[in-house]
Amino acid sequence: MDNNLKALRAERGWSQAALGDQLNVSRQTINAIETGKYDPSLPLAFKLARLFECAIEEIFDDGEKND
Amino acid sequence: MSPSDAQRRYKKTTAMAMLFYVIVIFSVAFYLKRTDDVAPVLKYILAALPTIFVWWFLWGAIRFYKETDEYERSRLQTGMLFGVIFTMLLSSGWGFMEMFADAPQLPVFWIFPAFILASGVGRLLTKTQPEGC
Repeated sequence: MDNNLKALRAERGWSQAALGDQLNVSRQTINAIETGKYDPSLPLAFKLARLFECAIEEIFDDGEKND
Repeated sequence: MSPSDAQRRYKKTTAMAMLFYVIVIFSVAFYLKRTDDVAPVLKYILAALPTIFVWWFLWGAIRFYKETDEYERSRLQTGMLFGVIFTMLLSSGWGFMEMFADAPQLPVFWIFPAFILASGVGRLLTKTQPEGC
């Protein structure tokens, strides 16, 4: 699944480790999400959306177009 | 506990368990080789001693599974699955070769090291490379 987590993180000047600390996940987890190797669970996706104050769809793109 | 703390504890626990596993195996082998007239019951008990550290290792993995985050948990699952598949294929395949092709008989205790090795390889296959900020 595509995502713009790296760009959102860069806007705030956070490192992967700093973002991981805020979400209580490891740096490796953030890296795996950013590189598309791992799709987060729904609870973690919600945590990310709340932290970046946006909708989940603004962070993740499953490639399906809405009507 | 943070995921990185959980990972540190997992590495420490498994390294200690493996160290004691090897030490106890060599100690038991040394003792039984040097000592005559060991009661059969004592032999069984001494021979089973290393399994304490097998359990210690697996308990460390179970604790890590509970304490770490979802991605590390999925890596552990993938590694364990890889380990199970590898050891099942290896042990059943070799067993058939022993039965039908007179292959040399291997001690079954090798199953655990083979599982650990394959699990480690399975986890490495899912490892991601760190990126810059």
